[in-house]
Amino acid sequence: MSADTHIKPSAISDEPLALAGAGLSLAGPRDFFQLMKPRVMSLVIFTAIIGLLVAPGTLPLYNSIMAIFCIAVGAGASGALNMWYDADIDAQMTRTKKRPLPRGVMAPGTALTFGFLLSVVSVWMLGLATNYVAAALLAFTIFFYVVIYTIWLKRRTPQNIVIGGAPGALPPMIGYAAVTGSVTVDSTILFLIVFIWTPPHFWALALYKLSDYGRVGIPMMPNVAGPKSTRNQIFGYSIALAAIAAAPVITGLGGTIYAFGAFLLNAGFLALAFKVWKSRAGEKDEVQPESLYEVQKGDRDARNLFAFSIIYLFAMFALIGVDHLLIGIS
Amino acid sequence: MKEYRDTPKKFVEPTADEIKARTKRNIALAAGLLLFVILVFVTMVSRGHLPNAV
Repeated sequence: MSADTHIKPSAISDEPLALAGAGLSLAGPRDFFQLMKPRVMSLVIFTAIIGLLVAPGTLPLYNSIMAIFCIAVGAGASGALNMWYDADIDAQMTRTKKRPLPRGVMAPGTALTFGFLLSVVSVWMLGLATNYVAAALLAFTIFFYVVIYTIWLKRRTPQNIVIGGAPGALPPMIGYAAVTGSVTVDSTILFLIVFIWTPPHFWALALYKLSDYGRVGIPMMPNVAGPKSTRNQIFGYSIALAAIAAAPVITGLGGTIYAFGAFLLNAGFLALAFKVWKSRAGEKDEVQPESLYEVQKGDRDARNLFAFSIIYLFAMFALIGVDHLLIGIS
Repeated sequence: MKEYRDTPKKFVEPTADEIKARTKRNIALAAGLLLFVILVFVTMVSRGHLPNAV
């Protein structure tokens, strides 16, 4: 990638240059932090804390903090490696063109080295601070996100975010494993809640933000299977999500507060998914002038579901955490 | 026989912004490495791997 901050070819003459090929980048610590996708990290940290909190057994406070720190850094490393690989398409999408690589303030090699180093350090430190099951899960998460999702699936199949949702769903399982050193039914339920939540969450976004993904050739479900099929699948996944949300009540992971809260949240999620299903969200190309308002309304339904889905996930995990804390107190 | 060396005569001067960014990166790198060393030490001690001197 050529960048303004690097030596321009015109600066290189026949005379050997002491600094030829080097040049200084303008990337500062803030750019490196941006490379770690801080907004994604916040969700990772929150779900990992809940996983750690509800796991049976105890982990000393310092090791718990270290575990969360390592999981967050591991997620950040995945983000950096993702931005390194996707710099070409990031430069063409409005949402991502201001990232450090497309802006040209950072060389791709720098992002690659940064991501790789953080991956190694976070996995090794997590193993040192907790146990090697948690470390192996973190290593698997980074591998899955970078190799399976970013490099392999993202540009090849509309199922990209379904399968690619796995690494985003693993942090609570890693938090849980940090305490127990194992993978259990309860930690699998936590994983499944995020895993099944991912498709309706992203497809709702894709329904009203179609153009960006389509322009760069990312096969998102609305672009490939069409908006109608996507709306059907959103509703289908929402039903599956409601079923998974009932599982903690059966296994004892969630108590009364969870059961009550999860019922309301899932009723809300299903209602919004139903509105999307009935709407014409994503069907901009078939718009007739007289039906313009209807389509706008349809897009609003998709946007509402997307916004609610973020609150939904935080609230579901918060409920599990609160329930567990109250059981601990009583 | 005198060894031939193609001595550089031109140097690329980094701009003020580049130097500022490099300084910030160096400080962040040093702080990061220091944090890493401290974290490894404290973590090992927390896991019962005491250094010989302790």
